[in-house]
Amino acid sequence: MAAGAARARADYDYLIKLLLIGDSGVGKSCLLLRFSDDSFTTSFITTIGIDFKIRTVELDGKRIKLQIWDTAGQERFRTITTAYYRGAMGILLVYDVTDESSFNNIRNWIRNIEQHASDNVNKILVGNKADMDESKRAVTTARGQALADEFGIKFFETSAKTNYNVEDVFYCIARDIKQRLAETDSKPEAPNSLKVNNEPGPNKGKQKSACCS
Amino acid sequence: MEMDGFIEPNSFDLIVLGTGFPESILAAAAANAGCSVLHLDHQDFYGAHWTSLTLPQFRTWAAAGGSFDPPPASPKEQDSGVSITSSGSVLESAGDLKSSDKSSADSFVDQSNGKVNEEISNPSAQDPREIGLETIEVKYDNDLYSDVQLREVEGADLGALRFYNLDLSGPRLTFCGSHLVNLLLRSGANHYVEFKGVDATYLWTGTVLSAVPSSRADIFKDKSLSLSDKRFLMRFFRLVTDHANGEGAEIPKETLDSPFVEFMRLQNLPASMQSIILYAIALVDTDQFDESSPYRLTTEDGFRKLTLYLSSVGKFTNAPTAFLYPLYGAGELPQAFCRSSAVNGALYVLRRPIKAVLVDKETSECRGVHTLNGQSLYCKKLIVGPSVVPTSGPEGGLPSLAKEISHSVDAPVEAASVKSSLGEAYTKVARYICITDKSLFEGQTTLLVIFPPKTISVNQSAVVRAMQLSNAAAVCPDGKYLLQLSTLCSDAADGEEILKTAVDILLARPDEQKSVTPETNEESYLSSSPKVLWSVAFKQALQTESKKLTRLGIAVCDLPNGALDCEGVLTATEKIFTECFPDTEFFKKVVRPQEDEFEEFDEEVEASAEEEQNTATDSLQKPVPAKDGDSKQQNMEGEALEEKALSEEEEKAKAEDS
Repeated sequence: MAAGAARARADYDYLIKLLLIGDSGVGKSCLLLRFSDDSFTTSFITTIGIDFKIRTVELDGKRIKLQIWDTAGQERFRTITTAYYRGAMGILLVYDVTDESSFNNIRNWIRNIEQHASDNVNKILVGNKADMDESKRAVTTARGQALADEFGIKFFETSAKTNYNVEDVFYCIARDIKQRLAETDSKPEAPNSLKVNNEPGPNKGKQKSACCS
Repeated sequence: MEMDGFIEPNSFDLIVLGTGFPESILAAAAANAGCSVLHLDHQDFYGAHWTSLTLPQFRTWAAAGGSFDPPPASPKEQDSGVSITSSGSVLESAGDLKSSDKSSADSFVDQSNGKVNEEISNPSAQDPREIGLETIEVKYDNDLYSDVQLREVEGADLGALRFYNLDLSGPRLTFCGSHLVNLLLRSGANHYVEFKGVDATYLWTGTVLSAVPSSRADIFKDKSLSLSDKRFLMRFFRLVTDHANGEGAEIPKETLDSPFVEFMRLQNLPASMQSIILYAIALVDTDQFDESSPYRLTTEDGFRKLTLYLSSVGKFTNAPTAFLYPLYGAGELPQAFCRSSAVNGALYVLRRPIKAVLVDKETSECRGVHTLNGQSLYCKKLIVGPSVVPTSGPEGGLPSLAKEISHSVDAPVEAASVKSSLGEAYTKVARYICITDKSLFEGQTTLLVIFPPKTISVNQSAVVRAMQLSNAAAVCPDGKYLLQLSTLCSDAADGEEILKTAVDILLARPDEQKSVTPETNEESYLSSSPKVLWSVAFKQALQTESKKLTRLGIAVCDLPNGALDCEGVLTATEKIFTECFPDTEFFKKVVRPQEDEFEEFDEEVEASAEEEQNTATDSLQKPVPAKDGDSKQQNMEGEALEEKALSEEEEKAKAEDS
């Protein structure tokens, strides 16, 4: 229904593309599913079939459409496509507070971002699985905060399982990006780009030109 | 450390080696069909011979004579025996890998704490699946590129080097109504890549760069064509459109099989228009006016190409011509298909060279691969990129089967691609890329320029294409422009010479050349010509010896061909898929569970997928489903109006004459 699509397209003030980045098993997909669907599963699933999710939120009277992309499992062997980073406005760097190495790898993920994402992309550090028993915790809140401070980014501990801070972290980065977009009035990298979809081209409206055209 | 650790599971329906464009489409198509897929590359980047490189990467590649660093894993070959003995030593060797892995900027630490590796219990014991399998060693052919000439201009300001995306397979673009666009929609990969419409096409006539009219309206306005020429042209287009729709007078088979150029002559098309249709619309690669040439486009194929072109113009908003170029470079296309594949469950591992293929002794069918770091991976089907070749020579210690294969080198190989039809005259494609400081035409960023055969020099037998790109296509910093050129050539050095002359023609303005725009016939000049700030020229082979592997049931994908669009490559790729999976549809549209949440995306995708099928596969304007009746009607009226306007103009002209 083309009319519906057109209406939906105009149904927001900002479209923000967010990425989830971090080691396998830190709970990126769980955070995403909690935020988009308010669902959680404890069974271990490697990321299969989760492409991106959309949720529209309201911030300061503006409708923000968040398009949140998951890694499609390509982080497992460090084979994230450079294409994944294109056009990203914000990146959630996720580690598992019970897994030291996932925390140590955050630096490497940041280096990856610096190589492939645009310079002004907003970043936020997320220590997931904060609900886990303290005996299992490997990374203290203070260390997480210290790393975030070092990179000058914000920090949250979350639990996708208990829904602790999940909304907050997405709202926080969305707010920062919205503010950046509003302040800089930033123009898109390639203003006349097009996506291959059913966008009605000149061809559709007046079939005349479509022909020899 | 999982990054360099073993791959689990180790058995797949399909293993694909190499992440080039055809390989990535095949991986995505198999994953789309529900197959378990493992996709490996020995390099640490996606795209293989179809990749786009940053300027520093391109310099490194060129400095190595047109080759990438040896696979990062090779220095630790001697360690591979250690890493398979126990999961513990896999972890130990991780430190090793890090230090020896020069080409990878990453130094990720182990994150899995052996979780994955523990599952590989006693991997040194022979897997029962290996019984009855023979090992044939393979290597990666590093000699596919030659005659690399890099030219740096001292003191040139190139801007931020990492913002360059330089295509190794360029220039390459796609028709808006192409099968590729259709596949992007069907696979969902259309979400992962954006495009920039080409602003304009120019044809070098030998004396001027003349703008190619891209639509009926353009032709109508074009003052360089006489009224009678326009009339013939309109009739010709109607003939093609009717034929595509199965309407109008039937065209005899022998006419359809005859050269398109003859047919156009019989239809009284002016010679200049014949040239435009052949080289700027049908995008043929070689001389069509040479009657002795074996590669003349048939009328049927000419109709098909023209129909594709006509269905492409005006298809998308922001696409002023029939052509699209992927933002961030042609290397984004394989990546888009790789992500689509991953979303459907395919497993991706880069920096993972293999050293052998495993072949069933009885049936001579390939059953898997052996990686350089010592893991056997099994599959029902193996598809490889063009650089994988069997090792030959004494040190290879080839088993009997491999010997038999090497004897068959001279046997004719069945090549699926269009390149074989080019015969022996064209064994290579010459490519050239340069960075300039100014657009060829002010106000236009993304341009295509076609140099038909013999317009550059008398010995130019193949078409030369040049594409100008800018940061509007996100391939270079603001204020810089890229020119990519290519032409088919032989081993002799004529290719580069011709490309360099073509660049000289493009840059040698304002004084010597003028451009004529169809609307005004005004000559537009630039205040000063663009300057070349950096350039590279190289040749790429069109054929490899790796077709030998097809005797083992291994499908081998093509190198980038000399064509401008991707349709020939796609045809060959789809053929490989059909041979590997005879009963499986090539990209069936599967509804993914989460899609109900993106209604607007869904609708867009489905609606256009259907439409694509209509236009791309059989006709420009399908004999109408009821709801399109009105527009069809309008269309007819439009034509009638134009016809009327033409007549009026004609009469006016006559009146003036008399």
